[in-house]
Amino acid sequence: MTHQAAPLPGRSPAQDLGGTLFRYALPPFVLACVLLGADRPGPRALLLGLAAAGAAVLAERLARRGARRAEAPHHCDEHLIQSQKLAALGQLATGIAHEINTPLAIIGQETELLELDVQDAAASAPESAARIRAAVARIAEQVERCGEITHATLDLARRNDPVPQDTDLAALAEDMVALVERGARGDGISFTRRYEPGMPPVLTSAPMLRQVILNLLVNAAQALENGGEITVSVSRDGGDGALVEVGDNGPGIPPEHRDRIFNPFFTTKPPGKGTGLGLSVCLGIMDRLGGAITVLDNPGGGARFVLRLPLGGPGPGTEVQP
Amino acid sequence: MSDTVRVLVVDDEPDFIRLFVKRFSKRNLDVAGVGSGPEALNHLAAHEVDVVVLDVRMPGMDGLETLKEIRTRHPQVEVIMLTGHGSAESGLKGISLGAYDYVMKPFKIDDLLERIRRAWDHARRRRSMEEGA
Repeated sequence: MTHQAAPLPGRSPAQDLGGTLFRYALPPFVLACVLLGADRPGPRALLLGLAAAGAAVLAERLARRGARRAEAPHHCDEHLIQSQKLAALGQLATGIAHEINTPLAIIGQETELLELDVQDAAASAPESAARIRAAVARIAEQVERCGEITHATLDLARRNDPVPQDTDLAALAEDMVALVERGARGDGISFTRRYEPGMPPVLTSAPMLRQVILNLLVNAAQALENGGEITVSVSRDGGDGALVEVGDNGPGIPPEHRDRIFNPFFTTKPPGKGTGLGLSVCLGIMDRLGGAITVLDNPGGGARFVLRLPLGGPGPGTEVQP
Repeated sequence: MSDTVRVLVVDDEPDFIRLFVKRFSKRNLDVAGVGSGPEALNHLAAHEVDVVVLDVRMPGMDGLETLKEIRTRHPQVEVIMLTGHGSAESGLKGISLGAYDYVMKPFKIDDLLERIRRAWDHARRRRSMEEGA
């Protein structure tokens, strides 16, 4: 193991304060903001939401400042903080996405009407009609893009319970690899498979796991602009767990980005290429599956994402406990 | 609950649908076929269906738009997407929109049959979880 994102031990007073604030005060506070905001739509709800976001950031900073001083890394706490941060940000983002969807729908409808008006006007002034038409098309395109972001945001907070089925992990991973491999033909990307033979079935949600693995594969392929190698492995993890790893030999993830890549809306992709929600969605899903997702350095350079899953299913204790 | 899986196949190629209905009916599935997204929504409004097998690329309302509508109007129905070209991005979109599985054409009939059965099993388990909750 080469790296653990921002180790978070649990001793210093600053960490205790930040952690306590974060764990106990924040979720009810954000929830209260969202509930208060629900019957007071508009700027007031947004202000309350922003106050909640400010508190979230402050609490996290306090927690991290404490963490930097202490030494022993503690993986569970880090995972817990990530999950709770995701939950708080998810609640906030959902409120905003709901608020934005309505004006977005109005803009979209007006754009359609404008297109009809331009058709009528085209006879008298064809040149300016063409310009207006191009502008309207751009507006429609950007409205569509905003809609994708709000839908993905709402998706982030939607709490679909996983429906566990006995799942052949290697076969499921291979389906996704085959899909990406066919799509990436001609891009100079080679795929290496390492599926441990004789793996027992894993009790998990197949569609949710497909979403996570495909997300990681698409990211890996996008990181290999000039070609390279993607390695996918499925193996046992001790007596009661399974691992799925997706690695690439691309440029890798700079250390300063490591603890932010699971944050909603954090992206290094060019505008329009990604919503910045993919990895937060993956983290949310892995939580619900009773598993975990971590990022490591790939021995040959590049990034490697590791998914851990319990063989016996999510179990009753998968909700994040304060 | 009946043990016969009720399947709706949606594809703009009539020959594909005819063959699909014939082959899967022989495997004891209750199969109907339609040629477009809007027809699929009409069918679902009038008939009980367990699993929809939906082509991604169709003229007019495409597979992803149809999937979005099915998930909104009939969340209890499982959807398996069929793709002829294999694009990871459209696959990710489909799965993010709630498709149960994503299958590339050409497929082996036994393989798709197994996936349809698993999708059906998924729907049954979800229903019993919801009833138990």
